[in-house]
Amino acid sequence: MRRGYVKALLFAAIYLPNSALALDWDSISLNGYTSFEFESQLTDDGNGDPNHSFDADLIDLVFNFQITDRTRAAADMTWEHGAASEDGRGNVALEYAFVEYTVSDLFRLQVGKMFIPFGVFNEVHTAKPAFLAVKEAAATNKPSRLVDGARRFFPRWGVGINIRGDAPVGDSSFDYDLMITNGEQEETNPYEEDNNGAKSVTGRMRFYLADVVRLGVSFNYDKPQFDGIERQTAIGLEVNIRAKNFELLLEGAYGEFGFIKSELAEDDPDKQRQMGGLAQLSYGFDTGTTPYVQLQTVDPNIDVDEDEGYSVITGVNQTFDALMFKLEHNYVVGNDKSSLAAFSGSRFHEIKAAVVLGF
Amino acid sequence: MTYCTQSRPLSNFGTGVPGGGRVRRALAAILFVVVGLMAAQGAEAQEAPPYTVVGTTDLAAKGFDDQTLARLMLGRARRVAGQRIAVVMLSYETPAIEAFLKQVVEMEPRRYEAYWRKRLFSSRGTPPRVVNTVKEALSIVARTPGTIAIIPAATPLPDGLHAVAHAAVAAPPPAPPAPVTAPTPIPTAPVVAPMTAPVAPVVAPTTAPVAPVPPTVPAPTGG
Repeated sequence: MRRGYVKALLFAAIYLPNSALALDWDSISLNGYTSFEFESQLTDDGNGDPNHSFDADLIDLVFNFQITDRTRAAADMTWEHGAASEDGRGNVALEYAFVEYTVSDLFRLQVGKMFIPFGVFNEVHTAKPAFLAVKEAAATNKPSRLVDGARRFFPRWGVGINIRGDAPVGDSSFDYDLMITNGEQEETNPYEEDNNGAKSVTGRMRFYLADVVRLGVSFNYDKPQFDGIERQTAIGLEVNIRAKNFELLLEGAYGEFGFIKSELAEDDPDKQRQMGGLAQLSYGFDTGTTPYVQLQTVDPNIDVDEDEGYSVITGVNQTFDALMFKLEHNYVVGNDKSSLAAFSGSRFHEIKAAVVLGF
Repeated sequence: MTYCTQSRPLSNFGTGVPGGGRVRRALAAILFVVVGLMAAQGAEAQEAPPYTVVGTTDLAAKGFDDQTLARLMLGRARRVAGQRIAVVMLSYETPAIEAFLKQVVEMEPRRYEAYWRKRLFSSRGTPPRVVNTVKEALSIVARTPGTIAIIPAATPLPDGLHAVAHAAVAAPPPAPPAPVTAPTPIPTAPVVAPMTAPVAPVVAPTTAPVAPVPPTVPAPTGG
């Protein structure tokens, strides 16, 4: 009997360190991207950069570990704006880190920290090689960048559980995400604990019609009970159409923010309704040159007139080897009651450029 | 499949009528054009860079149709017949891969790359692995269960690997025109038909030395 224990211990000592969970290099992939940017406001006043600044925007590393046939671990780490924690400069973030278990293509289970799967840009908002413009679309992702008083329609990240899947339907196909996470708030670390019992729910469904047309709908619901917000709901729509080298992208988001009633004065409205929209048309030449024009609009409060902000971005994107060069002109203008009215002519102009590497 | 075009000598055609020389030259010119077009089409079929998809003989799925391959290439399917499938291929610029992407995935290489940039950086998985040589691709397939490789069709396969999908067979060139019957054979000095050279046997593009693909193609299913 004792000899049996010794044999078992020896077996464990020899073989367990080399167990099946040890990964070989074929099971690991390392990818990432960097972006170096330049911004220069052309007008005297505005929300742009009047000092013609360079920006070491980010370096971002993406890890994928195929642990077993069914289990994958993925992580994305980013260092932004020359992060130097000793000096309190820049930003270091774990964009996502999750474990995925594949039951079938239609049913994959993910747990961990993940991007909120809403709309077109949130999951690639730092991935400059994944979209044409220098910045992700402000109108649907960071509307306060365009006009003051606007709120985010949904949080960037969530910690919780996601179900994801893909399936064919004839010549077409669809995919979906259904996620439940701690809600967004700043009273505690929402990636560690929630500040209330309610959970945030996000869903998205996309249909791919013969890979020429993509239609998508997203929603997010949360009860933050923070920053005066009792509950918030957002709905997003996306349409992407390809016709030869042309590509048209349309995205819209509607958000409704219900305020905590006990914190309201008598005449205060009990909610804020907000809309954001984007239209982008591009043409991809075979040489890797892609000119584009992008229109964005944000109405921070549908119940208030003349508070909208707009931007018109015209630019060109050139891929060369693994590099991508971006050069664009941003024209930002607002209505009389928008925050942009503070600038002469309620508008400003800015040039943005970027050198992006994806690998 | 082999196509053979036969031509008959035009040496004694049309010389017994007034202007017969012009008729003969005109017919020869027409035949020149027709045969030339046929030869060009055949040559085009030969030059098309066909691909073969190979895997080990113990794959759960014995064959892959284009839709399944496209879904694997796009990351929308990862499992076929209950088995996780990984794809290995040469660089997107390789003629066989470019042909595969256009024919099966219906994307230009540049667009395919852009597609995966979005997918990769939004945590939706990794693109098919790209290797530098066919030898490397075959080595990975041989040692990694559930891996298939897209390689040029003419590649000899080592033991243990077989084709699981082919490029669609290009349409054969049109049948050669019926032999022109000389109405009045008149012995004259031989006239050499100008277009006998380019009618070498036209070979259909999928002649890779691989085993035939079984007709059964299971739909992708979860495992």
